[in-house]
Amino acid sequence: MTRATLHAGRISARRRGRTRISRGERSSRRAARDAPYPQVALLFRGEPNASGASPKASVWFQDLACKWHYVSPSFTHYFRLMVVHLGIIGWQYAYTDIGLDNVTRQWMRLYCPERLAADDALDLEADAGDDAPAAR
Amino acid sequence: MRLRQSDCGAKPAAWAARAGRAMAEGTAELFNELSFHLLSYLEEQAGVSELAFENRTGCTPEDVFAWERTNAPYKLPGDLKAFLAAFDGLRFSWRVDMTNRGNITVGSMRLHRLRDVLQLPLDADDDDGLRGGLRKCDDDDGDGRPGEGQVLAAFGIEHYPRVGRARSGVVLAIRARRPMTTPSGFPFSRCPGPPRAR
Repeated sequence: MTRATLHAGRISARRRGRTRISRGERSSRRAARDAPYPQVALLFRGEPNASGASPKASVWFQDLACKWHYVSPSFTHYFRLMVVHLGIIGWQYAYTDIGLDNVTRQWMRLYCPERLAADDALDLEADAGDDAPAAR
Repeated sequence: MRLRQSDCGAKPAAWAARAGRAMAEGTAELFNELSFHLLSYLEEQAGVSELAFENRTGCTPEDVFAWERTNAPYKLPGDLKAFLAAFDGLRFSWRVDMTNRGNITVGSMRLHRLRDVLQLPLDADDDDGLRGGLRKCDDDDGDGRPGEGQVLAAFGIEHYPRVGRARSGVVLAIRARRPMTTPSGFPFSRCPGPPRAR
């Protein structure tokens, strides 16, 4: 095998591999860009009326699975919650049945441990409420 | 800890000392006051290396009126209008300097500008989640009455930072005064234990 052949073979192999990978990368990047991501929304509900009065608005969180979770009754409440959680990424999951992920818990434990304790207490209350027998 | 802002290039300053001064709309000083001194608090935390706050002036009543006319019959709540009058959206994030991983974004607040508060599509799949949440929502009223009305529309007001997407530019940067790591390494003793069984 001559040096030229070896050189050309290496180039073509690398090129072939690069083409295959870059196609995959391109499609995965496109998919990631177009994929839904968690977001917070102002949700209006009530009876549609012709009088022009605006329906009631509350703040909701839509997770990665596009499932909606109630967070707060108003924007002021939401803003305060955001501040006490220091805006740590993923704090909204404290108000879902999914719960906080480990990374978010770790940062909250470091920077706002009292809020983490409060969220955990809230979670326990919710669990107890679910387990409690129905009131008669 | 040093802090720079994008628009005005403010010098490092103690937030408490600034509190007495007149605060212009859309500035970090005003946000610090509104957020119960969040920026001052974060500045003092160990490992925080950068606070990025984008100055944004508030929107005008005409802008709000135009939004409401476009999206009739929906009207923005009064508290959101008041916030938008001071800040047309919010973009604030803070980072922590970790020895092995570099600067990583830990906190982020990204409220949309008024023009980006757009109606989200709600389809039939959303019904289950919304109904489950509505029960909690009604409990919060405390009136003991069942929920009234149906969900009519949703408007996005905040979104997550996308993982892997680089910001266009550093808006403001501060240098960590108190490093995150101790001489013995990362403070594992302060980290939470394994998640409890649910």
